[in-house]
Amino acid sequence: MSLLEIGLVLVVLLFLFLGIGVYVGLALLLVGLAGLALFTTAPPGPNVATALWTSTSGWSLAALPLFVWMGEILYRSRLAQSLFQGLGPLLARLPGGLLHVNVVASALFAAVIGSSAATTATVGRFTLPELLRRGYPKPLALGSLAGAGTLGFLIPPSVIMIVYGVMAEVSVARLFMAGVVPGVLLALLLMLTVALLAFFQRRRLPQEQTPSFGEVLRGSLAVFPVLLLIFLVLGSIYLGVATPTEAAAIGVAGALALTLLRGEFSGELFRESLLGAVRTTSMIGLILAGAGVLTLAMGFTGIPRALATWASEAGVTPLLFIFFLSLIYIVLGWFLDGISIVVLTISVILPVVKAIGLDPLWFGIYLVIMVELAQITPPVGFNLFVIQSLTGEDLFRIARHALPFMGVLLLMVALLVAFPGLATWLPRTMTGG
Amino acid sequence: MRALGWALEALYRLAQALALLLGVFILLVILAQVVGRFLGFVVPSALELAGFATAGLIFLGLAPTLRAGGHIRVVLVQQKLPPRARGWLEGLSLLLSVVAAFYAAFHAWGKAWESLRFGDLAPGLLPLPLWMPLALLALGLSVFALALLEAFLRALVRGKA
Repeated sequence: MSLLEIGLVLVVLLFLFLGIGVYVGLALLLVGLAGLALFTTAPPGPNVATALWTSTSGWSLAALPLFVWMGEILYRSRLAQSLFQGLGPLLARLPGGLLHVNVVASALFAAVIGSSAATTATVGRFTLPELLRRGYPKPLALGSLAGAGTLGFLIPPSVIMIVYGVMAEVSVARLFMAGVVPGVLLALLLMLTVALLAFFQRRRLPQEQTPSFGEVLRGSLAVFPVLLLIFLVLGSIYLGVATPTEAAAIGVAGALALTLLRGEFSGELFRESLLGAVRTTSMIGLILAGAGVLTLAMGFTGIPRALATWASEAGVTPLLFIFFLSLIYIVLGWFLDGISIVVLTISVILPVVKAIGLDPLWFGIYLVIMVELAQITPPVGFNLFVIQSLTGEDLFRIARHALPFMGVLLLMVALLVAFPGLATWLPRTMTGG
Repeated sequence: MRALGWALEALYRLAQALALLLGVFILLVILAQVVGRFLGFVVPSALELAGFATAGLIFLGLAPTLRAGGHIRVVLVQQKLPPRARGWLEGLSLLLSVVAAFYAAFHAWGKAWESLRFGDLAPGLLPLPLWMPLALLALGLSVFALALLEAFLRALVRGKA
């Protein structure tokens, strides 16, 4: 069989397994196993075991459970509520009023929480009931949250960046630096969009009163603990005193200390938050482990190498490649979640990325934005699921409310392609390489 | 039958408790390393230990996560089908999952055994025998395989009824 035929067989097999509902990680494992057994002379059993072990036991992956744990602790504390009350007076005068709290609170929490769904849940739990109670239109309240929640992956720390960094052997610390400028820019674009949408519907928006100086002061104080945590975690990475894994451990300790100070700590909070972290880590780990097997099998068949050679010989330009890849990711995003998409495609895509001269660091940030898009495209999108469970609203209706914000994400991809420096400037400046 | 269900439940709880302990272990070992850097002591092989514990946490957490409905799969096709066909597809997908998990568990035990026989040691300051973390991986996969088998058998019984 030619490589093309082998590749087609494996792709068909993968979609078959995924389609009938095999767990994503196990489907990847089975396809990898089929590839090893049918198309190579390598003994499949020992290779599967080795791949499972090496894809999950690297030390940089230890950051994953720790960052998830930190997010779980913050989700269970009432910090988000304080933040909402604090940000309200600071943002009330902007066009769109308290709707901006969705964006700013998401951006702040994204800097201490590693995933989009967790950010959406942590922020939305307090902002959505409050916004709807105050009479803000539902489409704007839900849509802006769905859009803003996606900042969770782009603004470091980020689960996707850890997973990508581990798989692609790109420094997680550098990825964390690369996400900052695009993350802040995306937050500003989201606020601009909220302001524009609010301007067109200004008659239907509640009028916020001008806050007093005392309220503004109290608001600033409420934001302070979150800023402190951000400084502790990201600051220690950027200043070079801690690796991402160490920063994550410091973050967990800091978040626990914060709940102690606020009188919210309990044995139950400790256990439940850790259990949440174990479940999320296991969920991601199963996919990573399965992908490890598939990646190994792919390496044996030689498909990624052949694809990379073909791409560079056929003169595929980076622009053309990114355009078609984006189309593929958008389609995959309809029925797969973001993490699965990254892990599923990376072993085949990455050699091509390197062969046509794209920077793997830049590509990581591009990938994160595509994953974010997948988070809000129905029928499978974790941000949508979270908002659905918070409000009971129909999934497709939430997605329609989020449509303008999908546009913002696409704009962000275009900006990143046009100005690669958005992602690569900061890590270059900070690490000099 | 009831005793079997009870034993399985105990096994899932054991796996979950071990995974939680490993989570605390990762936190403590990394924190000790951070503190050690400031106070001038070295925690030997802290990074390796944290990495091994992460693998252990992932695999021991598989079964409890399955029971909590935490693993990802595509259910779009199943949802579109009539109940009877959906049951068949559910059974088939679970059967494939059972096969994959048992195969992986079997070979994970094999790898742990090899490593014990040859006395493989972890690279790094602490000469930690590799079979220990490998056995955690194999144990987690085995419990996961049993949990999937239980889910498959339950789906079978539901289909008959």
